[in-house]
Amino acid sequence: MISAIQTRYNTIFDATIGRLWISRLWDGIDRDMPATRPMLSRPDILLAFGLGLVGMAVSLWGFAQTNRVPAIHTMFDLWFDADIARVAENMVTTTGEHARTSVHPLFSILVYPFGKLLTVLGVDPLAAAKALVVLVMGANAALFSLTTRLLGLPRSVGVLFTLLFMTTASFLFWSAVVETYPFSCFAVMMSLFMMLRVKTAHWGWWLLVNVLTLGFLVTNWIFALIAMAVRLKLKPFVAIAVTSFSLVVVLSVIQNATFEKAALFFNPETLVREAHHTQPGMESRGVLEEGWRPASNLRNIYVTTVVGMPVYVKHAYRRLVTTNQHSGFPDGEVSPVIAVVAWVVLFGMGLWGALSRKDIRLPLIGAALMLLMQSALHTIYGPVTFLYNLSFMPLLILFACLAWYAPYRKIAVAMACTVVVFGGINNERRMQETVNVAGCLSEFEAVKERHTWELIRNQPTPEPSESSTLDIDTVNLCNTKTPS
Amino acid sequence: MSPQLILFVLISVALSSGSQIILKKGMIAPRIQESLLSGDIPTIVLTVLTSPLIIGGLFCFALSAVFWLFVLSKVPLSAAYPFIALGIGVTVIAGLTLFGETVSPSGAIGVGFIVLGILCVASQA
Repeated sequence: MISAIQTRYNTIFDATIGRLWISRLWDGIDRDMPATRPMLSRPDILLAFGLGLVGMAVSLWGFAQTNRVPAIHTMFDLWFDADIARVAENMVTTTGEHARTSVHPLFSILVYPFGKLLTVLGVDPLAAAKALVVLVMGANAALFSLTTRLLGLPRSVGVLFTLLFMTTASFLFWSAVVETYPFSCFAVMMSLFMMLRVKTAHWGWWLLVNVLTLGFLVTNWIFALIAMAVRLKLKPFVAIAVTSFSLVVVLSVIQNATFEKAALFFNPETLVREAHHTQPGMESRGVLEEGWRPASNLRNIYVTTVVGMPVYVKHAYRRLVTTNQHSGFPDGEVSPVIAVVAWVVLFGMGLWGALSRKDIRLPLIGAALMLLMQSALHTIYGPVTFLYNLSFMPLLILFACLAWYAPYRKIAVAMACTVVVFGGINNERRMQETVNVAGCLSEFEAVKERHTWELIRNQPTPEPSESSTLDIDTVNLCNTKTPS
Repeated sequence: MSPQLILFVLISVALSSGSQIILKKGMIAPRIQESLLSGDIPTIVLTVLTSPLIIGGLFCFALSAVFWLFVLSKVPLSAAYPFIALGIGVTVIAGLTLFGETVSPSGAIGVGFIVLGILCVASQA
């Protein structure tokens, strides 16, 4: 039956799109990459497994820190505008609030079976959600390790950059709470892996990558599409893109019928609603206190993702959020300054090295396109850029890895070690501070009223009374340093 | 550029930025601060010129110039001069650690770009 469908598709494609100039242009690109890079071998897989375990250990350590303040896991926005409690609920029950499937189209239906399995085995629902995050962050570290080998890095250097991957602020902060982003990061990592594979993968794998990227976060579908564009001719590209989109639509409809308040991602109303979360839009409505500062957003994307900055508290959506959007270095600390200088040098050397890699030029152009698109999106979207950084952090570290191919290889290694050590020290401190600030915020009665989410509940969360106001002065709240 | 010449450049830069640190230490010493507050020019000049830290700083500065002259005799000016910018990185870190000064993230990013620029220039030399 599949071969009959394929024959019919080939006929239609050749008679329509196949005749267009775009098809000739697309298929004219030389996608044959010289096999100068090593194929993955058993030691690579064993090493990746080991580094995956280290990634899980980092995640467990992170949860040990955030567990000091249980409210982080049961309240909104104490951790950078994140909806931790609702996401945890979505992972273990079909009831409750699944409305964010409007932008995370298949999150509930893809993750719930695993969460349910763990709860059936007797694991507490919140612990089950945390366990899944630990597993996925381990998988992300393992996949990154394999990707470094596909770039052609020696094993020891690959280990160094995988350690860098795990000491970024992005990895540390988002492996310590329950959110959707570790899962979308996994799909992003799969896209990069598939794009850099020595041999082009079977179409089934491409279908999976498309479903996962689109299914976990709508804007991340671009990762799979670019990866496919790099590796496939137009005919299979269109077939897989259309099939995977259709599959996501079908699963979304099933999810809509199965999960309480689940939304359909292809509903145009969703797009209109998301437009309210753009910074220029929020600024014009007067709900973004600090205004839209694109340069600051770019700094958050390219620097704060790796070297975390101190948190402070701001008003957003009639609630309080912790953020590091515009913060500077903490007073009296040298490690973040050294880490930022070293990171800028390393990333710049990575771009330099990328220019010298002729054998994988097309995948690197693809990766650059992915990064530029993410930069454009997050220069505008969302009040707290740090929330989204697991989507583009793998790209940043991937480019940093290419510093190995720039002149002055020893300096590149020294810079990577410097970022691991000083960035790691800084990120650990920033994390402890954020836990403390979240603990402080969770003590306010107004915060308790507005932020609490009754996890795995039977009754809807009570809306805060209309008369209540959140008149808390956020300047230097909870011993933070509010930037001017 | 040969490793020996790079070493001479680095010694010159280290002495130059080291001299800045020593001069700063000297100028914030209580004795000099008191003389500055007095407003008496001869006293200020005498105090500054007899300060061991100021003398040491100026000596380092002169020594760096000696090394630098040697470098200039061997290396094209366009390749040698950008290395002076390395001193910015050294003095920023010294300002942070020794004098409790603050640096903004933009400042640190700028220092990173300077180092990157120096590597680019060095690779062409």
